[in-house]
Amino acid sequence: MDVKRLPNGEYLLDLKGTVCPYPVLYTKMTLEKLKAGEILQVVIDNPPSLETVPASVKASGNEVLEIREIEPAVWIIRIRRR
Amino acid sequence: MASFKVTFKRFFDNIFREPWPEYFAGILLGFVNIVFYAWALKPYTIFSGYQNWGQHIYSLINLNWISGSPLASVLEDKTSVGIIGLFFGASIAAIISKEFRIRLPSSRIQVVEAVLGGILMSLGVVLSFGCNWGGFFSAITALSLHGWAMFSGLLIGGYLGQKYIIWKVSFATRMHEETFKVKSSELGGRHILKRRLAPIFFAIEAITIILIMAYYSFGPIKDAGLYAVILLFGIIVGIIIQRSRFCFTTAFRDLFFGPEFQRSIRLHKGIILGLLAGVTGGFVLKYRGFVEPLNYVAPVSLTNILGGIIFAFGMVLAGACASGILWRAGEGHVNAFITIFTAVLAYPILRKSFNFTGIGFFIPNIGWTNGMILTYMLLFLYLLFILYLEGRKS
Repeated sequence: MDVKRLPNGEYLLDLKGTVCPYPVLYTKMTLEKLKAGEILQVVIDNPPSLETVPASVKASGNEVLEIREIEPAVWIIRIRRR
Repeated sequence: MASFKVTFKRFFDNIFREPWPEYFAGILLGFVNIVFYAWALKPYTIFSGYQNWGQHIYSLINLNWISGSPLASVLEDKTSVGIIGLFFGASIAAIISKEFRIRLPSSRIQVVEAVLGGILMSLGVVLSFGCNWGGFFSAITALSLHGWAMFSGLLIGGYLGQKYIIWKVSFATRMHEETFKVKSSELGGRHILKRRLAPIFFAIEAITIILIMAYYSFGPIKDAGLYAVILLFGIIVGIIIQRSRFCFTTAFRDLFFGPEFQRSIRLHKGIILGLLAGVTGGFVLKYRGFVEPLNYVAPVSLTNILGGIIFAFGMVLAGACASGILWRAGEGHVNAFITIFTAVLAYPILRKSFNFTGIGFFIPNIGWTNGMILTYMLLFLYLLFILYLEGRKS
């Protein structure tokens, strides 16, 4: 999975097309590589991940800033590394 | 009337916005499973529907000597009708819930895994005499020991599948330090089939269901009402599974050390409640002679455990179980269609090639009361095991 850096300094992880458990795993692994305060945007289109990704982010002590539907059944989850 | 609008919307949101709790879905599935059993005189199963479809495909190209010939048309095979219903039910629930979307595989590896998963699941079904329904959920409901044998295999296979996934992702993340310009419009991804497609799919599916029902009403089918209601049961199962995200794969994959461990525990509790409802109904149906006691009692031996292991590994590769691939396909996952297609082509051949038999064990053979006590004790042990794992982790 490619983690891309956006012009505004945030990171982007595009997980469209992947299903459980990959969205949770890749999000977790990417967050571990970020520094505290950095922001990761995760793009998902797998409905169950809409629950499981935020739950695992919170369980690992990181912060879910925003969950936004950017088009039908595609969501961006913005996460701040703590 | 504003208050009616509010209450209606709240009810609608409860059903089609918020996911249903797993225990609620489990009880519903157990209940539907047993009513289905009473209606169809066979438990709700899945893979023999794929067998029916595959045999039709092979018959079209005169290859039915490798697959066997279909016993009934697609709309007159109980299992086939049941899973057609599951697909439509899940799809319609996904569309109403705004969760439908044509989703392309994210990588070539995913496509390879979908094919391999379909083949391994088919092989597992042959060895276990059923999938996660016919070999496990409905098998235990039918009071056959082969359900418990496959269950132990599913636990091992799910564990091995998780090992594989952790190994695979350990070297799969790549950080780019250079900056990329990504327009927000690009994040929607491949631009085929975006907005406005869900209503078209909805219309196609609704019309197809109406046409099938019309065929049952006016067509030349004997006992058409039987199949019409089976279709309805399938639709209900599909809605329940889609709305609760009742994923047997997550349940068995993440049970020991997975990232979705909590969800896996909740799913297992749902499965246990579903089995509790199922076996209770199973006793009633079989004791009263409503269905033959030995109905759906399949051979049991060590191969059932092996089949469970292979099946579980296959479903982890494919990302969904026998019912899960239908639900995911209904939601628009192209990968799930690939797995279904593989299973449809592989299963009839494997079934015909490995046509071994054995001795089944009907649990009430040890006496109805003893069998009942034993079954409830097994379910209780299953629950204790899940609660133990939950406690150990937290």
